[in-house]
Amino acid sequence: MRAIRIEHLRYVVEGKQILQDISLTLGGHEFVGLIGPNGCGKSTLLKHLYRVNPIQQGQIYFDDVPLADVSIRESAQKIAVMGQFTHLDFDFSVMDIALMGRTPYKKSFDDDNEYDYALAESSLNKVGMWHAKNRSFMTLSGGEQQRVMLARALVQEPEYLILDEPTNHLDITYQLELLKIVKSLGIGVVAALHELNLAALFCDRICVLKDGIIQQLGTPKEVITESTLFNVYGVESVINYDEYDIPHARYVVEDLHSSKCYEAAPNICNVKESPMIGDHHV
Amino acid sequence: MSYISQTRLVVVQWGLILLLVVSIVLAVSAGAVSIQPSDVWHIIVAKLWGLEPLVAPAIADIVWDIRVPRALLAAIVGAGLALSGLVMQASVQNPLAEPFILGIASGASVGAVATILLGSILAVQGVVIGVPMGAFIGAMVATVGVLLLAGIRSRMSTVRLILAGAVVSALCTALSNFIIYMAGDAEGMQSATFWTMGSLADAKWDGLVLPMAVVAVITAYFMSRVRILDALLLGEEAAITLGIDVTKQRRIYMGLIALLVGVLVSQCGIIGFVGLVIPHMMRSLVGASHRNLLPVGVLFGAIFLVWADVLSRVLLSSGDLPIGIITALMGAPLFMKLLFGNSRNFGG
Repeated sequence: MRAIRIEHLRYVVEGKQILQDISLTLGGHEFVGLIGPNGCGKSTLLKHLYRVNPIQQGQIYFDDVPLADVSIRESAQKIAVMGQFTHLDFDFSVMDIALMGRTPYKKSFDDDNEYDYALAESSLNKVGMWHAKNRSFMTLSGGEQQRVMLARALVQEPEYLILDEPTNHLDITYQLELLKIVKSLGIGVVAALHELNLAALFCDRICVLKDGIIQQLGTPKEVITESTLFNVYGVESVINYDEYDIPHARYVVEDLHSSKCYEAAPNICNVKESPMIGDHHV
Repeated sequence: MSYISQTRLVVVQWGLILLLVVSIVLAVSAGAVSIQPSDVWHIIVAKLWGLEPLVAPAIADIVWDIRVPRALLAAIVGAGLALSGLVMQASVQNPLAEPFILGIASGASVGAVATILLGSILAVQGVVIGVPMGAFIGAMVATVGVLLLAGIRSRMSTVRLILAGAVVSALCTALSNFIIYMAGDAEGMQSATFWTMGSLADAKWDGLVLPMAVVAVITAYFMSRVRILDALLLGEEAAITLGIDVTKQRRIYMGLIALLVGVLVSQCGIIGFVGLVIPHMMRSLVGASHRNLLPVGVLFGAIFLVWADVLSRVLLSSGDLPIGIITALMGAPLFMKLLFGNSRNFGG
């Protein structure tokens, strides 16, 4: 069966349990979102999948083969990663970067062939960067660089795409655009996402991590609930549903816009030191 | 591979090959005794065909026995140093990495002088250790030291890397100077000037074989690794996701570069900054992709050092200027610009 199966994965760094007994199966073509507060272990979990973190305890199977038995090269043919934004000191063209996606398929003296170029072209087209193929990567905006990095991942022809907080440096236009492209690929996607409403919109299933433990796993409707948001993030919210039953969280911050703010929580709404609005509360 | 520059690249490569040949001929003709380039060409061609050149034997001897080997050694060393800079920069993902700056060359010089000293002590017992071998060991130790100090496990910051290089370099230079002064006039021991500032004055045909073979083989090896070098420039994690065993490749590459630097330093002392200047110049010409950059960098490194050596021979009427002074005068300002002149931080 085509699946990534994580079994009883644990990870400890300097005595701190980053992951505690994670078991999770990611199958087929679904889009799985990983959400959770900062430091919950999202990135650590993903880094296990893309071979940056060694497995200390537990096991990960890729199509029923233990990951330890799969070479880094083989897994790069199946899993592509779009990581958090990486700064580049070296001047590559957009085409150079896209073609690097062929690295896991190439032997020592292999040249790029017609197929590689065609693939690079179609991938750059998909992310809308073909027009910039000869431009220097360093001169692109952050959003454009992310899109080129996505094209590179597509050139890898992966069965799975891992997105490690891919939208960090993007404005909402590009976040939506990027996730739309990813969603349309029809391959398995595992994405660590910060923005809950985006996760609800795009994911087939959402996995909630906190303190290295899976708190919840299910469809957006099952997971994005008022109680989950409160338990995991400590945030009050009201959940609405759109016409497709997709949940949407509206965050509630007590007394933020009421005049009783100061009385209710003087330590939080320290308005006295703010002369601009102080008058309202005196 | 850059999509557009294929024709341009071929032109650049052949242009550089031609320029290298012309440079060597002109370099040979220049010097205390000026010789016509046409005579130089004639002598070289005749000697290559095993004929007696039709010029004064004294001139032919100067050209063939002294100047040609020297120009060739300059070309070989320049090519090797440029290559070592390119590979080191990819291996540690930092455009400032270079054998001299990171102290690898100093490590090689300690190894070389220690071997010479040891050889002169042990000669009576018939123990001879190859000086290049000693230099390789020294370079290897320095490499490991720098990488450990810079924190190979974490993402190495530029500042840490440069500081680690400075520390290792200072220590190794002190050690090798110490050995040189201890050794007095041990057999084969060169002066401190030779080791710290480099010289090509001792070039002989015999001595060319080893460096030429090492530079040729290692260049060929890395020509087969251009994709991996490219991927390494993206950073450690990105390289892993492209299927590269970064730790293993980095070990192999740094080991080969230690061998290369060891052999070069044992022949001509420390010639700094070539590995910084050449890759930097060539990236702006052909981009960062190693399929283009590597051959062009190696060729231009050769040309560069041939001319640096010419300068070192003709600037002073009284004798040779150490070639390391010339390369440092060109390289240090660039180093300064790369380190401080860029608002884009290097991840320090």
